[in-house]
Amino acid sequence: MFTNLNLAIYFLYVLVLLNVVFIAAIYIIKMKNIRKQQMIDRFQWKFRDYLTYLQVNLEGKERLRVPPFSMNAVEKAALQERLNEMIDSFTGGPSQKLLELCDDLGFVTKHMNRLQSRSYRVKVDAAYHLGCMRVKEAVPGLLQFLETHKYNSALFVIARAIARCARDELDVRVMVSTLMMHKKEFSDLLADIIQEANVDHAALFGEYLQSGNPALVRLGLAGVKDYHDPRVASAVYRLLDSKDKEVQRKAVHIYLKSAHFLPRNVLNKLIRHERVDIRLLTIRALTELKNHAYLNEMKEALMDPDRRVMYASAVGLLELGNEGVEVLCGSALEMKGAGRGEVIQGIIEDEIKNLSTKLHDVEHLARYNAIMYTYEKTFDKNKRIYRIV
Amino acid sequence: MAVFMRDQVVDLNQDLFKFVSFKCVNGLACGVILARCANLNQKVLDSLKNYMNKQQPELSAQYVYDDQNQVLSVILDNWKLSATHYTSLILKDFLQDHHFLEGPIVVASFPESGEPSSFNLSQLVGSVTHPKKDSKDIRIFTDQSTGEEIQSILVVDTDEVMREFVRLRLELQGYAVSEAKDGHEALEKYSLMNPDLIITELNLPILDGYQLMNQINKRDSKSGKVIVLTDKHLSSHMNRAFELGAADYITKPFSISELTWRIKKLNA
Amino acid sequence: MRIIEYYLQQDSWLNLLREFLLGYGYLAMFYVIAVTAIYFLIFGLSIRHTLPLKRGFQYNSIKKLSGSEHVPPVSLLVPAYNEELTIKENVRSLLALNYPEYEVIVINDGSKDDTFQVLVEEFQLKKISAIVSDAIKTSKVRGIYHNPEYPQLYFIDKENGGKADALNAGINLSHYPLISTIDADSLLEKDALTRIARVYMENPEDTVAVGGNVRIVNSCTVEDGIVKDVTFPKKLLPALQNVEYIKAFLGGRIGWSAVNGLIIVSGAFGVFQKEKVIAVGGYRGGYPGEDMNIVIKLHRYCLENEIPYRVAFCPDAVCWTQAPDTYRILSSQRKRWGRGNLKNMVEEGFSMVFRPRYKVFGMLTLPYNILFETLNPYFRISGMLAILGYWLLNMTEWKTLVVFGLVNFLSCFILSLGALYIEETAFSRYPKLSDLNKMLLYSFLMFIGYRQIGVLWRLMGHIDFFRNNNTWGTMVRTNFNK
Repeated sequence: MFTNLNLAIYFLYVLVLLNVVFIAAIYIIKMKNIRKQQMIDRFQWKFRDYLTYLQVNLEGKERLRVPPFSMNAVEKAALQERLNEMIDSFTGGPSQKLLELCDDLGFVTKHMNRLQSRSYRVKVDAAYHLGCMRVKEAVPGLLQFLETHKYNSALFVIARAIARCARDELDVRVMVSTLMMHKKEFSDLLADIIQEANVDHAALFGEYLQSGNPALVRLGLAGVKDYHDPRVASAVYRLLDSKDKEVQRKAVHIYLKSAHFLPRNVLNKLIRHERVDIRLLTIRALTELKNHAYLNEMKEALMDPDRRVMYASAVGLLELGNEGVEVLCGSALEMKGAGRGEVIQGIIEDEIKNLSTKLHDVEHLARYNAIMYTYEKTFDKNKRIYRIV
Repeated sequence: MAVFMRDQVVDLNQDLFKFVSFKCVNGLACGVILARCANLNQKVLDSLKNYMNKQQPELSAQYVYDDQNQVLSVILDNWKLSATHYTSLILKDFLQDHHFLEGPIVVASFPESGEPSSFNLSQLVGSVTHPKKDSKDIRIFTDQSTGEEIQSILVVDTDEVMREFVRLRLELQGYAVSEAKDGHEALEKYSLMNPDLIITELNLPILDGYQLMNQINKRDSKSGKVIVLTDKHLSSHMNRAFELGAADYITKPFSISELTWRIKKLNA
Repeated sequence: MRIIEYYLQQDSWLNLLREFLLGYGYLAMFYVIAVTAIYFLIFGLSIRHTLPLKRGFQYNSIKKLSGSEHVPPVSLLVPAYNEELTIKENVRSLLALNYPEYEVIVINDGSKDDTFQVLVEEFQLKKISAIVSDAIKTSKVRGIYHNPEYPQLYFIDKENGGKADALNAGINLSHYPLISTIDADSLLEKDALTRIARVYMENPEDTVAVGGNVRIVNSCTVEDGIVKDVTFPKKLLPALQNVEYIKAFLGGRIGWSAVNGLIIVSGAFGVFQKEKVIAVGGYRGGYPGEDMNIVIKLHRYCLENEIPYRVAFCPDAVCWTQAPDTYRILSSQRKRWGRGNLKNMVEEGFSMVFRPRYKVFGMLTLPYNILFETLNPYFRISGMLAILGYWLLNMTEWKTLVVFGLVNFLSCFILSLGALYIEETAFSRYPKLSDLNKMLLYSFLMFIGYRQIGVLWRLMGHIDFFRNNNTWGTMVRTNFNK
């Protein structure tokens, strides 16, 4: 240790230097941030009237004019940010005019140039802004950037920019296939990104669903998750028998949501499926459809070995109007000994209690009375819980 | 008292109107059940009355059968909508068991379902004599009167820029617009100013959009239509909003001209 | 005194002692160099990853994601024990998050106060008969409460079993594949969950856990569940904790997550894949430190089953928490942490350390944690004793000590600076210059007493551990003392 003393002192000097450098760096960054913030705050005031002008004239036919005052770099960046927000808030005509304004302000050219920069940081920033401004010309450059980019958060920034700028389906397709090369699973995020593109999403996702490539199929499933179009139902039909559990579950979920009409054979297959979650999804979907044709199936499901399915079909029958409630009460009575009867009766009573707090609404009132009436008719009248006159 | 009318040209509308408005003027509620039936006679009416009284001993009602229009009217003394509706279930059971029911049953209670005006009552009778669907189900009558034109609007959104923008545009169209930045403020302003239309986001602090709609429903006034303007794209959000009585659901990004058009459409 | 003098005069003894102390000296130097090297590595990684991270959240449309149907649904689990004063506000603020689809499951862990009544009254909750899974065994659930007017809110009332037990009960009820643990008194920023979801969505299969950033809310202005004015804490203890947290979270966790060696996801705010949590048996109860424990178990599970995975850290997802401002509460918290840390190392750590099978976690994280965190008090104390020995034996001069002392201090201080640098570059949450001055000041003050007391508390936590271990039957009642 004694011999290393000189080494230690040398090290000490280095450390002191480093510390000082860091402290200086921190303060410099802080001061820069403070000054930037002050400039932005001042700019808000300067900019107010111009903003009002924009908002009032968004609908008109005239081209929006650039601000009548000059701005420095920080102010321009602030203005661009505000414009980005507005572009994202509106569709159609107003959005278009704002895009033209961005062009007039020189933002488009500036960022197109920056995209060619050698600094990675600048390129990503440019990609982001070009995406916000939906610059179609940027797509080739962005696609090139995407190809050589590694797998991290910025990858998706560029992908999203491409989607926003996409000229047609081809651009989106290329973007998707480039991303797929990373062999990672991010269908939900990718589906969200694709929806930013100004193309026919349903057709594209439908294509992916039929493609046979498992990754693309998953992407297609993620994309049509919330669709209610019957065409989607036919697109996923094949996947109902998929060997992959997740794919099957998602396909069933989408099919049930989007099919306006459930063919008998499909219904039977799903409701008697060996997987509990499939049966559950089916029952829940039947509940939503509120079609009396499925009364028997719902009744059968009350005897499902899994309690969740029984519970879901009981809840569903309660929503199926008078017939549903009658079937439910009848089944509850039948199954009284087997334990299930009491559970179902409990579910009915819960619903009665729940509805009794909502009687100011006409629809709930109707349901309340329907259930009450059938309940009292089926079970012993002396077991009345509620009666509201 | 069961009254049976035959071979008399009876103006069912007029009689109903007289009876109902008389009750309402005296501050009492009046429940009305109209059912489309065939081939009723005095004996049937009497057995019906007995049946009904057995099921609901506290019932005090008048039974009138219009042979011409084949409409059975049951008028319930001082009964509100809830109890009237419940009674209609019993009635329907009876009529169906004895195969008398030919068409829909319409239930109403005045003044809860609306003004006891002759217009409303003729609408009521019309919905039984000339129903849109012939199915034998129970329907609840609602006031068909056209709402007043929208003049005042309340805009609720945490995003100040969005609020300002919408307010500006709507004021240009001639509406009187007020703002609120959260659900609580919105409810306050609603109680104070009673706007005709509320345009609200769903995600709000303190009270969210759903709670706001809930509270508005509970306040029981007829005005106060709600349009939801939100960035939530899930169908579950839309369903819930409609369940709570929203008149329309618009997602962001949106088109301001579409918004104004939808507002105008609500007036119709 | 005479005896010592006698021994000190014995040459052979002295030489032996000298040799020993010399050897110890080298060992100590090696120890200090090793820990400093690891610190520099981790903090270096943190700094290196700051800009990429910043790009990640700066350019991603959080606003758009918060309304999108593609964002995965999450079950927030909120264990509550004796929170009657604040539970109402906190639940309201949790129900108002800007997130597309989620549920809030509050678990009343047998509170002795009015927590139950307050919630039931406020939201008009009624008892429902819900079907729950029994994936994990918990103590008795007395009832589940719900009100369809607040469809996202579920309230589990159960007998006391501790925070871990409450979380497990919440897992049993949860309906979604992702779970998030939240402390009942934490204030979540409105977009925090969306930010974490964004990190998750970029790699949903591999990401088994994501931790959020915990910041100290003392002296900040809070309105309607939103932090309006971010201010540096005014009191001493919260101020010290604030710089401590910034150093640990921004300087430490970013780096550790970059090498997939993150050992802990804060219990105050973390998101997990429910399936994996159930696979490792849920939260371990009966002892503090369940938040570190679950992450260790997840590492183990994925490494043993050779599943590609990552435990991520999302520094822009912020959860605000109230830091203890009295000595008593703070010390009891740190003792608890010390106790839990040791327990985790004993239970899980020792079997994985230095085994190549466990990759970075086993070869870097655990050794670091055991040697430089858990066993730190012992090294420090023996180090001080050694210095004392040097001095007594005239083996060294003050100059050496001063130099080494300064080197030690400066290499630790630069780490604090590194963390502050990251804060200013990427987040810049404290707008005032005076706040920066305070941060530097308190970073410095940390070395004059605070860190030393921290070591002491940790040691006392260890003592508690050894004591309790003997009386396994009488479990210390777990509550959430602040």
